[in-house]
Amino acid sequence: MKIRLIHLFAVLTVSSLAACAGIPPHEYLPAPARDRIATTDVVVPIRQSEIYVYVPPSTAGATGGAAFGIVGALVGAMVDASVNSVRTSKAEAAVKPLRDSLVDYSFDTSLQGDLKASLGQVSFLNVADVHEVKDVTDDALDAALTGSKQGAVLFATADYHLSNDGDVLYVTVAASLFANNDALRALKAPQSKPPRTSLKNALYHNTLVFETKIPGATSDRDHNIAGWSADNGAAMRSALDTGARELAAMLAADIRRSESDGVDPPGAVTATLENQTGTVLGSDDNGSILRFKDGTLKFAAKSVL
Amino acid sequence: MRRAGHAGPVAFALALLAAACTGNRPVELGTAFTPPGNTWLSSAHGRGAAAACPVRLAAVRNSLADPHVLGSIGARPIHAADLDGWVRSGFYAVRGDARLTIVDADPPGTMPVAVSIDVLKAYTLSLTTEKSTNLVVKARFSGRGGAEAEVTYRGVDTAVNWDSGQGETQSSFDRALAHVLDQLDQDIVMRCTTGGED
Repeated sequence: MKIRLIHLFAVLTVSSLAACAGIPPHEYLPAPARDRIATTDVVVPIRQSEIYVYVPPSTAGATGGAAFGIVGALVGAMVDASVNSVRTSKAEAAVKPLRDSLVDYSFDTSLQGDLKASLGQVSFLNVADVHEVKDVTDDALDAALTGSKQGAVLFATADYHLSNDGDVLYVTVAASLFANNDALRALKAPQSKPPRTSLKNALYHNTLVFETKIPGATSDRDHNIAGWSADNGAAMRSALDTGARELAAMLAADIRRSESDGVDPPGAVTATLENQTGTVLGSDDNGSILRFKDGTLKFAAKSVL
Repeated sequence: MRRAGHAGPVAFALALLAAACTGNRPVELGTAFTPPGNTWLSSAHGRGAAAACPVRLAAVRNSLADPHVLGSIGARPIHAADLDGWVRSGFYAVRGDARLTIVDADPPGTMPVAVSIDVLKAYTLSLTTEKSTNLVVKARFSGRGGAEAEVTYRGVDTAVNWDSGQGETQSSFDRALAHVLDQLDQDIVMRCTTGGED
């Protein structure tokens, strides 16, 4: 039984990796696509309803146990599960005051408004509608694509969460644009195998991240969350609104870029964040936009630079 | 503290098995609330009913972004065809508190406490080996008990995700609703006590 569990785990892991293999993190929108997009629906999948604290999964048990063979690895993995359970429960209890302070705030609404404003300025998209979906399964996203009456569908899948210490806020938008008319499908024929919204079928995709930190942050999660929650969650509301606005503007700029825009100019300024070095594409009063070697983008607020 | 010492590891092993069986089929939340035990209304336990106070559920409103999607457990989305019905079912279970009488209409000569419930958040979030269910409602009180008032309640249930199954999802939502109803029950009784007969 133990060996079967390990086998199953291995199969699931390999399957997951295979699903992601061969897809670069970023693909530019092909130039000919611009003339073939009649109109675009923007779909905003947001699975969560409130902010959460990301708890990094413990792997120490499995790593240490592996030295004792398969049985050791399995026992180690089970120890990890216990550690994860306790850590997650503590994180959920810690974030409750912040959730309570934000009950009347909607990040979903904020992001949809900013996407409508920013993408509305990208003339070749001809944005028809921006709407949210809460069911973020392959079936639901495929239904959103096939149910659209527009020539293209741009998905902007969003997530927002705090770091394990509660000091850093991450807002992520995973963007992908799919053909929904024959003219666009001629540029990249969709694979027959579902899901239709697989990144393999996307004409454009990229990941955009916004990162900021609470002023006066420490390694004490409760202290940091108290800072975000103070004054009816003022700091968090402001940070989420800024994140939504910056990410929407970054997406509008990125979808306009072509292959030639990916080359850094001589003397380009670079910055390093969390051991990743990127080219500074631009700055404003809130922070700077970094582009990493794989093409992904990050807005780093001044508090994290 | 429901967590047993071996709950996490066992859940981990079961989750591996369940992943292959359940896929991402939606979990459907039922419309019937099942109280978690006999003493879930903490302040009502062991109290008699000398003069039961009438309480009426005026309305239930669903203010979720998508009224039929309640987050996900594992890879499975959670759907609710009739969230309002489930909340109503829970409210009527408050009749387990003998200090209260749930009425459908205002009795002659007596003004009940009228309660309107607005569901603001209702979801399960899957994190590592756990599932965390949150239910946030705004209750509006009127009728007996003084001036109109609004109070927001949150019910939370965080527990091991055993197999992303239907039963444990329903139980988690029921426990979160019970947590809300327990707080609501205490405030209704307070209004009954302070408001008196109009």
